[in-house]
Amino acid sequence: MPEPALDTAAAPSHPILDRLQAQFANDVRETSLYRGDVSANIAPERLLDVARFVRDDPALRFDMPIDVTAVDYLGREPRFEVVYHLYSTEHHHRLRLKARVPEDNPSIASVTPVWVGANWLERETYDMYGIRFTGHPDLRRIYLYDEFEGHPLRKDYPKEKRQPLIGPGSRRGESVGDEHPYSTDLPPPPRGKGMLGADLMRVQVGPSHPATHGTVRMVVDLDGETIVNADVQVGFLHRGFEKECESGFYYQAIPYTDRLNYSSAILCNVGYCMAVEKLLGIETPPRCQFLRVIAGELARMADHFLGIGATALELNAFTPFLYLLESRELVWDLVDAICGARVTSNYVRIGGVSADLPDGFAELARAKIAKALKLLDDAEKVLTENPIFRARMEGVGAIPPEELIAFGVCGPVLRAAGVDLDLRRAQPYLVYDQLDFDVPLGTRGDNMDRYLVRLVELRQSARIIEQCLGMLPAGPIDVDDPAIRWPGKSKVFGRMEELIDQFKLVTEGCKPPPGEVYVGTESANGEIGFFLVSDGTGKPYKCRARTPSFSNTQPLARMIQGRLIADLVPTFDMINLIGGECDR
Amino acid sequence: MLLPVAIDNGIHIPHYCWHPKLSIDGSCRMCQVEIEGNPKLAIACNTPIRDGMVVRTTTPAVQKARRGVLELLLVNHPLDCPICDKAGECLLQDYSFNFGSRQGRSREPRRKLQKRKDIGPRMILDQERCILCRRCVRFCREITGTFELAVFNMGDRSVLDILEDKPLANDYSICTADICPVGALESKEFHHRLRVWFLKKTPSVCPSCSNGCNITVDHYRERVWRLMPRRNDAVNQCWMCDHGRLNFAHVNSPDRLRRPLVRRNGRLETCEWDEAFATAATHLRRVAHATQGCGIGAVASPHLTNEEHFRFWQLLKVLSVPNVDVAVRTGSDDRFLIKAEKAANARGARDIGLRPGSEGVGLPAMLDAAASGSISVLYVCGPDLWETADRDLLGKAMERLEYLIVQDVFRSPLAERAHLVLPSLTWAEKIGTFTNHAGRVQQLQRAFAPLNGQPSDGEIFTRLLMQLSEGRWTFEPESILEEIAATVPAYAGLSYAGVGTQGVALAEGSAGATS
Amino acid sequence: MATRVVSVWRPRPMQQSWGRTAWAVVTGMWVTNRHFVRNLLGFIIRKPTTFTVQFPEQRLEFPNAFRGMPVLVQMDNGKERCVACGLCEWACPTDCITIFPAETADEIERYPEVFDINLSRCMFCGLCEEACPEEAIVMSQNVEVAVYSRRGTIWHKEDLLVPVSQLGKRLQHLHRGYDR
Repeated sequence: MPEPALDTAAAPSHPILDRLQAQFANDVRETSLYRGDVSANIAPERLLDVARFVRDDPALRFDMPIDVTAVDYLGREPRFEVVYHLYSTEHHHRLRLKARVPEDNPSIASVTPVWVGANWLERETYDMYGIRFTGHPDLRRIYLYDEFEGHPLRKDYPKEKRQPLIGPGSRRGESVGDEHPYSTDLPPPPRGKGMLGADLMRVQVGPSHPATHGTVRMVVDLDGETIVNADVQVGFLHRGFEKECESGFYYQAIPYTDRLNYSSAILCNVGYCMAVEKLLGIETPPRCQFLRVIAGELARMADHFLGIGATALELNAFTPFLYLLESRELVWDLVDAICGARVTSNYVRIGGVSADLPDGFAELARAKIAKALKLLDDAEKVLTENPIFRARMEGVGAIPPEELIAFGVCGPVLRAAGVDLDLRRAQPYLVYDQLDFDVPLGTRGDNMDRYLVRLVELRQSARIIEQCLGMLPAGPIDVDDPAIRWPGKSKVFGRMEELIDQFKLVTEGCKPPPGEVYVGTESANGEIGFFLVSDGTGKPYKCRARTPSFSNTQPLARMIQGRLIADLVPTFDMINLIGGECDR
Repeated sequence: MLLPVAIDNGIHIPHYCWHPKLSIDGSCRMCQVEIEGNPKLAIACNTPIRDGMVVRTTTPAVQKARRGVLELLLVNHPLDCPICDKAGECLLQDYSFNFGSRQGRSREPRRKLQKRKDIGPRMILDQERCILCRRCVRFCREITGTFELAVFNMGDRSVLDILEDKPLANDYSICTADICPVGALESKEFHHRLRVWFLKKTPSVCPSCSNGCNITVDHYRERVWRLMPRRNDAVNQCWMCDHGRLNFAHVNSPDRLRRPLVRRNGRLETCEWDEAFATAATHLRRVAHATQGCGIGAVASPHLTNEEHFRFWQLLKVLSVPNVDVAVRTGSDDRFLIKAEKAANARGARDIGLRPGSEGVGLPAMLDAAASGSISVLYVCGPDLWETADRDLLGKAMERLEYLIVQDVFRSPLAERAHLVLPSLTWAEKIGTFTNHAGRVQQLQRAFAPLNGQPSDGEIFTRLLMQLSEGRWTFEPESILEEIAATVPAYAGLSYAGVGTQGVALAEGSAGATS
Repeated sequence: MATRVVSVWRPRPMQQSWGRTAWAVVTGMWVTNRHFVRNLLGFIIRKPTTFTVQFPEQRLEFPNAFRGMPVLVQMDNGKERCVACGLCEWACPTDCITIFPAETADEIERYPEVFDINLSRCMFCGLCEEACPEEAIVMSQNVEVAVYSRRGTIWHKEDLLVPVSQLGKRLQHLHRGYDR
């Protein structure tokens, strides 16, 4: 039954919310400005109308779908809450739309007619929660295999339950005829003849393929060498990040965030900890913020080195790959010196960082970064104007920027298409507002531009690090709150209060007040966002990681349609899909 | 008084020395609150409430007072958290984290007292950890009346101790560890066993005597680690006896029976459940048919739940067995919680009708009948028959019996003589109800599922019923309680929802009679 | 803040600049040959300039912050410093530590009778080291933990004990952070 109209006098006022309420009045059930996040709970029947309105209204212009997910409030009716995060590339503001659907009929309209990028996101929500999106063009599971029973992120699905897929086709080992066992979810293979009179052919690229780094299966229908249709299947590296985080404390999720974007793990740590800190409502001290920026930019450099290097490798330029890997090794030496590991950094903590910089770090950093950039120069000389490289990369993989935005693509791929969206500049966080750096934009949006954008970003990251090393203030590296940050060891060994605090924090974790937040930061591939819902205990009720690789990989099929199969390789590489990030 | 009223209304006022079942001490000063009209803070535990009182519990003055109390308590408190069992359920930790000051200020060395002092057969005292709340002293004075513990000396030399020749040995000594807010008094049995944050808690009822003390089963990884009393003002207040508290080793014993045993060629061998049920049904049916039921004797176990008793009773009715009784081991009782019947549910068995019929005999006449041959099949549940019957008589009966079924948790010497041995589950793996000596029906919850899907006693009786009669039989405790409510007049109207976590008393004077 | 938006420099289309493109090939080969010659000379005069380390004959020096496998600190009297408080077991995100505490008759009354780490689960995150209130478990510099069987991935207390004298580097690194 319809809920009573909201008393707008008591509701928080914000231009976006006012606009929404002016247009939709009773259908906006609840609004919130908790911790600064603009959030509106709307009637599910009006979802499509609201979506179109927020996309098209000039004052709102939410053209980019950041995330679609759901929260399972088991025991409450209606049980599920479908959550949409939106961003406006024009006004650089955010909105969270929520709609509740009941357990006995968990279905809601699909917003793919409004934002095409909601396609995969809704498939994932269906896969994980069982929410049916009516009007979705292709609602099938995305991460899990077809025969999987149940929806694992629901609260009544036990984490320990195992459903291994044994034998071809099904758990019961039944034969599925001469169809390939995993193609039960695909349209039938193409029939007919191609342009040269040969049959149309279906070829499987991946999931293990020497020229695609990351496990992605692309089922490609070919006419000769031209791609007629491609179905990109991700999820081979799905490890249940969200479910795992829900069963541990907030501090235990940090090593798991390392494994999202494992090429630039520190950026994921930073994003997650900033989200928890927003939930707690605390600010970290300046030195900590500078340290996070330094470490984060080192990670960004490592990711870009690998991205460019792997692209070169897969276009058969083996040598610059090795140069760039050596650059990455040098950057990793620095990351290693800071936090103790190269890839699985586990550097950032809730309310601080795990350790301060080692002695002599500034000199070491300058030396190593200089050498890394020299190697980058060499790689550039080998690659950038090389005719083979240019022939493979130029003019390939571009789609119009409006489409990219509608897909939810961000990061270097979007900037290569000429869209100025870098969160460090658009919505500055940490100390980025005190730093000088350039944001490179491409002109044509093809693979060459993506490569060039990353080159510039590498040098800008080095510039940021240099500035930070010069500006680094003295001071504490943690927030001084023993209800949040584990106390220093010398006190734990010798004083009763700190010993007790250590015990309580380890065994019960910090307890953010109930609420929900979203924090998006600029990681190497685009916006990495964490949507956290707290129920007041030490364990997150929901820990959603919005990962750029997932959204960036969605338009891949569109980008390579009509191109040669060889063009698939540089396009795939320049999207820089990181499996852990895409599949969580 | 203000403090219990506040607690009952969900207002959390930290306190140490006050306890709902002990006298008021007013020594810890932790429950200080601001009362409008009073210039100084007052302790809530000793302030009577009056109309129109305005009390504030979170003002800066109150917070400062709490910080002060905690700081002084921590000044001499040893840095024992890593080795102290109480960590995780320690009120000093909790209050210090939530209300205490953030930094320790004292630099002086801490006082040195006796640690790990053996003060009784089941208890250890660490004098350094004691915060002198005197709960344990009042417990020994007011609840058990045994006066073992006392605070000696005065001022900053106060120390909790026992007299050399009077150890803390009363039957409820481990309750002092429950009420101790810190880890000063520790139970030897749980000393250095497991960290409490691993424990999962399930409310249940103690099976060791017919008092039916409400307990919480602390378990982890399918093992019972500890039993703690649960508050029930109608049964055991906040206490339980040491014997019942320590009586759980059998749940996790590796010697438990897990599979049925059947006698083949003179030896007991494991068999499948289907075979066990088929064999039992065959023998029971044959003798019931031949003797109109009089040739079968049944001994019910007082450790089973009411639901299981009911199915047993139905099984015996189907076989028309008039020779039914309950064997219960009895012991001493005290005037507090310990009762003579050393099993939880003998009363439930009798209420439901597991008593000799008009043409039948009970114990010990049943054994005479067995020894003389008029009873040829005996179905014995539980260990109490072996523990209570006259051994000679039992031996003679075993010689004469044609078929002996023993259903028990362990392989007792009686089971060694059986033709069919059926494994029983323990109380910790069952959902059901017990009826205590005073006629209070209380609910057990299952701490963990039995290993390998082992059936419960009720499920065994149900399977036998399926073999021996028409109709569909299932074993769902909730619906069986409804059946009991419909059949046994004294139990009318009972349901699981009604029983809840605190139980429900049957009407006065009801002894339960069934037709 | 002074962030600027710049347009990336893009080389002119190849059709319009064949000369430049040809020159790019030459430059590229110059770079690779420079590396090649330098490395070759380096090998000849036995001062390699390559980045590669000939493991296991050569080993890399890890920084002080490096997190290798967790080990138990062994005091000078041969006993472990660990008092089986269980914080590391609880803090571990992957539940790879198993501790059964027991009592001793010594002054330190508690010790771990069983202390197992399942190294196939351990992700070397270091949360156990951070949680420990006794400085009893630290991340060593050892990463060579290959074993022959799945059972061998469970390391027991005896396998994990390392004398405190060998852990100086790590302890020194930890002490830097003690006075936060």
